[in-house]
Amino acid sequence: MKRYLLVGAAIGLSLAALSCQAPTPPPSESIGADTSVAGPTAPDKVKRGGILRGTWSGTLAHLDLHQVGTLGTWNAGNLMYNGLIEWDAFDKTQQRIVPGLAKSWEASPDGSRFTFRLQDGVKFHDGASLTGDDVVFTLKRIADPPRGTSSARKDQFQMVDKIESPDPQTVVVTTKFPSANLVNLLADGWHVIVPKHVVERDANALKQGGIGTGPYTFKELVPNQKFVAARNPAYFRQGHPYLEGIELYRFGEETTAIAALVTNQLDMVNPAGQGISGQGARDVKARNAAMVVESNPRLAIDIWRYNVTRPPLDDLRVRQAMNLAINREEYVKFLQDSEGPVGTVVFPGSVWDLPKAEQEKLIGYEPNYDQRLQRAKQLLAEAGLAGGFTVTLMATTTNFEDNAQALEAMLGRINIKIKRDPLQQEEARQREAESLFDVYAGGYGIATIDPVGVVGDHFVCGSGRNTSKFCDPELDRLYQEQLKVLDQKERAKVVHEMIKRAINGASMNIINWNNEYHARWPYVRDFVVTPSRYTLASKLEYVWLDK
Amino acid sequence: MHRYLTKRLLLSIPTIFGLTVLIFFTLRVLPGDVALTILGEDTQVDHQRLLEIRRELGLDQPIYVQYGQWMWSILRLDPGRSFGSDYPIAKRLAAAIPITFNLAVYALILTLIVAIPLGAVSAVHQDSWVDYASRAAALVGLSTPGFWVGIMVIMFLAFYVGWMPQLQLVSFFEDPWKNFTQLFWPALVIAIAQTAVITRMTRSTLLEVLREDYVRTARAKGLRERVVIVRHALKNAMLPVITLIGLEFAGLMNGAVITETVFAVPGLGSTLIQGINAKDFPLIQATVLFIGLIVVLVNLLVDLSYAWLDPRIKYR
Amino acid sequence: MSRPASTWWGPAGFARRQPVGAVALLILLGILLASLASPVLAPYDPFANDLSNKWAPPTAAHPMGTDQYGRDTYSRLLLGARYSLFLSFSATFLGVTIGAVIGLITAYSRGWFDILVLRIVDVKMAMPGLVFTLLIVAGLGPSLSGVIIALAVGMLARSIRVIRAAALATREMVYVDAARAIGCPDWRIMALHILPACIAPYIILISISIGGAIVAEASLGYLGLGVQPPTPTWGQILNRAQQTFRQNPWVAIFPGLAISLTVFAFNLLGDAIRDHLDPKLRGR
Repeated sequence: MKRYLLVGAAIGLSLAALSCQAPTPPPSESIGADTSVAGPTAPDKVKRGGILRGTWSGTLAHLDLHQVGTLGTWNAGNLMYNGLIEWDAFDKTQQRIVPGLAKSWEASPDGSRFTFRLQDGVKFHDGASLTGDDVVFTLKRIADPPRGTSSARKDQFQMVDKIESPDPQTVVVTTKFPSANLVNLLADGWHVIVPKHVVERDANALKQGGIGTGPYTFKELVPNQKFVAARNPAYFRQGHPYLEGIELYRFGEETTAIAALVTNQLDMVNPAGQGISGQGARDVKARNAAMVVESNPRLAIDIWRYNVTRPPLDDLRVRQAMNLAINREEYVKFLQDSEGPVGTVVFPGSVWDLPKAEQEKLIGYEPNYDQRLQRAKQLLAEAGLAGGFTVTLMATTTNFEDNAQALEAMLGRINIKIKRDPLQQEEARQREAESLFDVYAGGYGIATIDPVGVVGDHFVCGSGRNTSKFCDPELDRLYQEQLKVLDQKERAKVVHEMIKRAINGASMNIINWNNEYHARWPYVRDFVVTPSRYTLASKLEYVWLDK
Repeated sequence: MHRYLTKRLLLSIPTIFGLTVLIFFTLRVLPGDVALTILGEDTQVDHQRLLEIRRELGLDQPIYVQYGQWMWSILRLDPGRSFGSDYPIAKRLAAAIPITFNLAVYALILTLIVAIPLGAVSAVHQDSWVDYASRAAALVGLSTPGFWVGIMVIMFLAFYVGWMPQLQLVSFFEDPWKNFTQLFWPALVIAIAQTAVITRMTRSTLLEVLREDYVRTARAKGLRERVVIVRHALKNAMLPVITLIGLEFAGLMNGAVITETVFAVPGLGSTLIQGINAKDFPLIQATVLFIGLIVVLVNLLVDLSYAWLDPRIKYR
Repeated sequence: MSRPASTWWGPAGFARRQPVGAVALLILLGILLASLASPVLAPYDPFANDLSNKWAPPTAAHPMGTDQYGRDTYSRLLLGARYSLFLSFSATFLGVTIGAVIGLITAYSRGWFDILVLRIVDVKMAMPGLVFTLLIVAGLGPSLSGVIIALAVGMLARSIRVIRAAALATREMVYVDAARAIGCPDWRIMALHILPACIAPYIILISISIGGAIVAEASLGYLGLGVQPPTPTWGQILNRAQQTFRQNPWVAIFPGLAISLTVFAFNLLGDAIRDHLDPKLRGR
């Protein structure tokens, strides 16, 4: 409870502070074309019509966005719905929230009462009007699901006390304690508004189809093959979307998807989910130099982490020794599909990032690898483990072998052996959530560029995703402190100390922040890749085909 | 004859029943938790909800009860919905079946137009170079793993021809030629293994028949060799070959499972593999059962046609 | 009437009568020896990474190229031969032997056990083999033992039928009746007359089943349902081959060639053994 208060306050304060000074977004690199998008093209210059054909990635359970967290569900499902508020499609700094189904919103001075005024004349795809009741029903469904419905993100709404709709155009959310986090939470793309009259009758109505307010309506679903959506002519944002329809096709492997792209059976790769690998992107460019290929930094990290309660990993020296032996640049080479800057717990290139000289002093980031190995062996000897030991590596089968190969190679240099425990995706996540591992390797999506994004979730003692069970009172103190500092420069200083503490504590270790490659034909315009996937950009309202 | 028919039909029933038992109970040894699949990748797991899901899917009931429920749903011709995604299985199978049927027909045609003449020529010119060549080729066809041949074909087509599988399969009734070109390569890959088996069988059966007395009689009567072979020997050799085609139909299904996965053809085979990867019990059961039923049906038809084609053969 | 099993045509006889089979046997022995000698023969450690050399095409240094971690394909194939051959031999031996034992028992006991087993065999044969194997592997989980069990179970049905038929045929022989008439105990009849008659079919079954087992294991590996990495069976090496064939087609080509060659040799050998031990079948 206290954690949400602090996170909320932090976000609220930093938003306030940052709105005065726009930070530089981290750079996107493109291979060959200038893909910087300042903002949407003026509506009178846009060509309307056409069907966008793309790939569909990630597993799909079904299309009900509240009940699952699968990427495949997001890809397709989010096209058919809106949230109350959304992260701006064109803001690569991930700071700006724009109106969604709520045309305006305000918080009470004490920060525990939030009033949202809904847009006028919004209709669901079946013609029914959107009212406050639908919003109330939806939020209750997420926060406190009825029997027979699961809510994948229920935990995040713990601080919500009451949700009411005093009149059809207004919704008021009251929280148990002052929370500036709520606004950000509701901007999260998963919290879409669903029609009460449909879902009340049948809790599973949205699984195989979709009735929302979104820019596209459901047309066809063939599991594991394709998803088709058509333009919603009655969309509340007049004039949008520009496209006539969207077709998403599932591909077993990237090579076929790329072949389809270059033969123009597709217009682009995934428009709202994962991109393609660097190798694939280079392949596309090689086969057709006119293709637009770009790499974008995303709020996603690849990590490995230790369970610090399990011996010998409970000894800080042992963990630091392991981190010294693990060379991140080498690690990245093992990860077949991962590219991106090696970084720490904040978004590389952001205002919070450590200067290079400072970063190179962190344990595991020093440039001289031989010296590091020496030091690692020294530390192990001090801990009495010069002869080495065995740890079990747990990870999902999709990327298991890459991680195993990397860790075996590098930890082998200080006599540490790896025992393998690959699991299917869901099982692996479950075990990780319960901290049933020695070493876990995987990846996470991060909610925000703000420093609380990684540290708050993964390092603060007792926090939800701190499955390493790491507890450092000094880190917690620094965390609290930086939450209260209003001046950005001053805050950055505290953040830097916090980063050092987090990294040298050797619990969760970030290999790199993922860059994602996207490839498309040049006639696909106004397509933006925001650092987080779950923004308005994924709804493809602004995308148009210049042909 | 009628008694034979009825007897065979009745015998199929326990076979089918046995099939359902075999499929169902083999699957229930599956480790791993389907309920977890439903909750997804990006979020933490809600234990309460996990238990609820298990209860809803009936996974907490005793096994024989689950079996009974499944059998009842099969008898009603409603295999239910996929675990997790709730997609109606009947709909999924209905989309997949015609595609596999389409593929199987092409594969069978390709097989027969090569295997039977090749086997016949091989037998007639036994121990000649044609015979050795065809036997060697058949053995090679048997020895190369189907999926590998498929990968090699795809690689060849991708590198040298720039071909790739189409996104949308065109139905035969819409555009027969396009349909054929889309399914030709996977059908060919399946046909390679099948041709090997049937060529060998044709050859050996024909060899036996050629040694029979009635063939010697026909020759003694002065009939031309071609007439002897086609009218007498081949026709009689066809009977075991037809039986073998029926038995090999199972092999055709095996080939389809692998080849559909390699070429990403959305038929029964890839549906089965997707079901296995997703631990979708109802889908796996329904698909395997359906495949088994087809094989039983085809074998039944073959048995019946065999009895009809050769009235000499008496069945007790 | 089948030939009494006491005539054992020795190796020299085999080589003379089945030259092709003899050559196949030599090739197979060569492969087997190479796989056993893999630690000595392999130019590199099959598990050693070399990231600077990912996806290398065949060169002097790496005659068959390298994979996504820079591991030498040739070394991995040599080691993989050991695993694949071990897997197939075990599965075949297990499946055919257990099937033979069951076949003998049912042939001898006749009665309800016989009928039950026959029904089960019929049901199993109604299902395409690979589909059944997939079911079992999906149930047991992808592992070395899982694959062996799955393949072995798949071979039970044919083995039961063939051995049962051979045992039954012998049972009807006059001399068995005669033996019983003079008071010879059942177990002696089994051991002295029926068992030896089953040896030839048993050997034939084994030799014709191994090839299929190798292909089946490879198929499972390709689908990702076989032995898991880093154990390099031939099937496992092919697992990600299709996803990455644009980067490096060679990783897909060589293991497949190895499998095809080995299975081809086994099939030749199996045919030769069958012709040798049961000339009535010659010409098939």
